[in-house]
Amino acid sequence: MRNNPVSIRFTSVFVTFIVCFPGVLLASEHLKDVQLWLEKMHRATHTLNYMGTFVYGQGAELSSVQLIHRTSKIGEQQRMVAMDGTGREVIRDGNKVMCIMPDSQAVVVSKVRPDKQFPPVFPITISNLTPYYQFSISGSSRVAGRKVQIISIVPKDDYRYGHRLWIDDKTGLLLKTHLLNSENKPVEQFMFTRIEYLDSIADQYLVPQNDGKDYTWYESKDGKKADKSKQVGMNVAWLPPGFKHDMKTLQKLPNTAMPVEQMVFSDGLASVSVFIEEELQHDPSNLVGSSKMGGVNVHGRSLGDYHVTVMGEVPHQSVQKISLSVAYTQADD
Amino acid sequence: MSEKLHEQISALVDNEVTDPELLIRQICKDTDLQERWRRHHVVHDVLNNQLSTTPVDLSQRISQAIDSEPVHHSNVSLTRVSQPSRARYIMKQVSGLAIAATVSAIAVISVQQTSISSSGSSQEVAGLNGNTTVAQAQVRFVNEPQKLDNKVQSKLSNYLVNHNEYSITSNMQGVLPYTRVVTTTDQRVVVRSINEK
Repeated sequence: MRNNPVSIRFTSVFVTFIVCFPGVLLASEHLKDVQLWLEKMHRATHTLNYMGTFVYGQGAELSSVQLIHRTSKIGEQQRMVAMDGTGREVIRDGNKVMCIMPDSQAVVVSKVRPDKQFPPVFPITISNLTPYYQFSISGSSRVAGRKVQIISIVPKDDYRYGHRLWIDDKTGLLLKTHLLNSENKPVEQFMFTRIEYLDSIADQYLVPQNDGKDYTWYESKDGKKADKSKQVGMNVAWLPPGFKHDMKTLQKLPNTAMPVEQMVFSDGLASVSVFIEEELQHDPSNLVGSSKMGGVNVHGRSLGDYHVTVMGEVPHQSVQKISLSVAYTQADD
Repeated sequence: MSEKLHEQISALVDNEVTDPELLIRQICKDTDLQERWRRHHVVHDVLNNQLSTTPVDLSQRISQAIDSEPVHHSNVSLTRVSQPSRARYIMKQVSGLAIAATVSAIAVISVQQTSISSSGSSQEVAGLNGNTTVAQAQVRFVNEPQKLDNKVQSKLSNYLVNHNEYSITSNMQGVLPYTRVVTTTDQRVVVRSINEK
């Protein structure tokens, strides 16, 4: 008996559907789970009251940092103190961030994102990121005496870093993380060794131990918005696949002589900022060349009467390639 | 490390040491001396224009360096080797070290896609491979990473605070971004470049 070709085709489509559909559903469910975990982590990070100590490592260097975080009517308040080195401190109070740097004898006070809502909206849609990253839940473990879920985010090319996140099973707080290079080795890691969740935290815990009285203060004043007509005509000609322009702003920063234009690009997870500042004369405070701050790579160069600084949580080659692709589109008047 | 030793290492790089064995032994034992040897080699190569000005396939070069190396076993006794060949053996070891060290130095520097000149007469180098070759750079070198000036550190910290505000990863991880500001006390600039156009 000969089989009907239509019937064979139908049968094969049906079998394919039966075989593949659960897989597709599973993958979709799996992504949903990852999305829920990341949302929980994001919410916990910004809304819980907690105190703890964590170790932070980049390359062969390890540091210990004390952290206090609370939420109040004005938003997030946070104090972070390095327990070694020169004892830098960062104090966040709503939209004001103060960096006390004994090694530079400087205090930098920045007013950031007055438009930012609190609590912040979770900015990631996992399903949009699947062309560039693979997401998975890699089991459970323990960190700082607490049960954690492990989430892995693996990039599909060398233009971005991977992440491994250990998330508190109960509260959702990120207790440990690795930023991973293309060889799956950590370029940066942090891990709580002690964590305490609290109903409330007294004001005294958020006061800096160093008042920076004798230091040089750089402070951005209210109303120092730069004239938008002065925006520089610069174009970024190359971006890693999937990166798009997120926003552009022009502002006067605390320790910059001229207004700085900031362009932000993102693939939906990793972000890169391009800072452009007028530099009519050589400014020794500008970075020329490459540097890094943990998992954030930086590249700076002069471009005519401007200085370009590119930084982001992406590998060095991405930052440098973006930096070298910046070019004029029009001259500043 | 004494000044005399520096001079001897410099002379060794230039093949001007008549009896190098003792010095080579010292280098093999001391990581500081190895580092000094590496730096002298980079400078030597620079002065002799022996550094490539084209993008380097590091993996290939590293593989070649490894392939060219004899297999060393820890139980090989130097006493079984005659004096001249023993010196050659040690020299080969140091050369291997030098190749590997030079490759690693190039790894630091060439990742920047730059070439190096030591006397201010900079060499023009190609921009990046890929679809967009936008910038060509004239680059003056530093042969080792230099600590960033405090003013540069302050400005970068300031930029980083602003970057964090808009960075999606920072937003997600909350604590980590400011950790980079708190703990970054030893930032270094890898390569200084000038006259990029």
